[in-house]
Amino acid sequence: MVRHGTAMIAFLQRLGWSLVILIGVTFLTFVLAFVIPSDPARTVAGPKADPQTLASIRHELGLDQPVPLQYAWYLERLVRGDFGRSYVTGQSVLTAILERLPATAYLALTSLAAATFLGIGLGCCTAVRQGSAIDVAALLGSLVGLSIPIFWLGLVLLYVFAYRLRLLPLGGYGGPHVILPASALALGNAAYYARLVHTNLIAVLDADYIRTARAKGLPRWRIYGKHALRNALIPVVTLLGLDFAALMSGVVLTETVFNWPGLGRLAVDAVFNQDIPMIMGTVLFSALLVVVVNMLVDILYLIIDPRMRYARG
Amino acid sequence: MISGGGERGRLLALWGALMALLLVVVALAAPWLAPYDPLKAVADSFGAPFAPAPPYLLGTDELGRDVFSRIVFGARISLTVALTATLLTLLIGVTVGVCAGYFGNWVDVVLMRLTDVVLSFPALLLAIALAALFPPGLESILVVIALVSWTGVARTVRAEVMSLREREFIAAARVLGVPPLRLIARHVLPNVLPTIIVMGALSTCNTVLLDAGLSYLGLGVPVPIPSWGRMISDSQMYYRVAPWLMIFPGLAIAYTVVAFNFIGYGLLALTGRRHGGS
Repeated sequence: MVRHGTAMIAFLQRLGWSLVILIGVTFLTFVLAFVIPSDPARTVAGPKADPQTLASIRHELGLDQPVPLQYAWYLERLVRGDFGRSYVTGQSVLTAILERLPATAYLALTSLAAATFLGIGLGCCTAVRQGSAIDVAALLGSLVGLSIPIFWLGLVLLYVFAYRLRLLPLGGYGGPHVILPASALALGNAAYYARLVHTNLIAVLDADYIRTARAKGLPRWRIYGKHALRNALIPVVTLLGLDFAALMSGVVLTETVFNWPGLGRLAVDAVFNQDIPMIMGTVLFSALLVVVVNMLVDILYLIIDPRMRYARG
Repeated sequence: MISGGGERGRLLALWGALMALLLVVVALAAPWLAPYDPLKAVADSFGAPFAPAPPYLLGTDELGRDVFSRIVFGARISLTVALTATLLTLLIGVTVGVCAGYFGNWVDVVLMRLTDVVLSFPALLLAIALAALFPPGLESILVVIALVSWTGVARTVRAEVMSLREREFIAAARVLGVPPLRLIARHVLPNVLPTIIVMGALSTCNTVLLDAGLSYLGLGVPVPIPSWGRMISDSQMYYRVAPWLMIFPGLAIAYTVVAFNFIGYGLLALTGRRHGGS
């Protein structure tokens, strides 16, 4: 009973902090869009808007009201799903984002799966052979992998695999088209996860319960697979959440290189068009996404690691 | 992050430092090292860039300019942006981290939630939004990069300061009535300096990549001598006929980041520290 209660409290605590951060995120975007610009109505309506439109927007968004009230109305609009309108196409920002979301999810999840798979595999191999030449090569390789600019890697992959070898399509969307952008996006993450799994696994392999498992005469694959890896992977799960924001940054660059019709491209195109509502909308939306993903990961963490129920209660 | 202890860390940090030193030398000695003027067409190759071959070591671009000279001069702008932006990042990050860690209570709660909020934004997207609001220019890029990348430093420094705070000599100084600012300057900062140096090296990797990404998206520093990221973005149209135009600046970026990663992770292993934050 007691255990159940502390888990519930920990869960509610996480939920509460996520809510605070969610509000913080909206406040920051509000400040960027409506407080910093000298004429917010113009940033909403675009540089070509005529005075009547500007006046009506000022009235509509309550820009003549005190700032706290403006923020309250801003929140109320967000809750209704009103993220503003693009002043290039006139389309609702949220609609545009939701249209592009599947493409981004497709790319990001494919690359995340590849990175996790590769990273765990490499991390295990190098941890088991600690101190060998493979281990040193993996260390240097992962540091180099972390250092390569994603967009450059994307261009090089395009040149080699699509243009010279003609193995994969040059650009486009769907099916085999995802392979190159997902690889470009996955490399850095794979290097990072490999390092992380490596370090954690080595620490876990030193633990008493692994020695016990060895003493019991369990087969090696069971010790690694069941006892060690499981515990070594727990911190990786939290990182998947934390790194989601970094993944989104990578998505922006990869989508630009490969002309992938996702959220990142939407934001970059908006920058070129000086379409402020669209930029702010995509930035806010991706931050909200990050908060929600992190909250889910936190909850998952509570479920898979029983120790957390006591630690944070 | 790195196991295998101090010896390996020392080697890694040493190599990184040598690589970084070479880079600084190249940037400083650019006028003597570059065989050609980076801004002038030296080869009569309009529309058809020359492939890497003597006398043009790394080839020429679509306007007949020498790529090697441009990369050598590009080191100046790329390094200036990276190092200045890192200093600004450290300034914000250390201030936030020290205040949160030292004063604790509500100061800590407010500053750490602020950090969480900024951390929730994908750095590049937030940088894009800020860059769209700020007037284009060198100062704007520096501020934008610093504003989106201080969070990792703040978290790590905070953790360090919190554990320092409990140590006897800090407590003794506090009891003796040493004013907070002086206590921080005299006793706290010197003790977090090693952490700040490690975070500085790791932040440099971050700022180099962020600056390259922004430059690639066309939001970088608008100067006549392009940064490496800008060179890649400018050559994108020709990547099929003249891949060397994007390959070499990319290698230069990767080299720089590798150098600082070696320093950062090497020092981390050497001092047996682990870094929190991203």
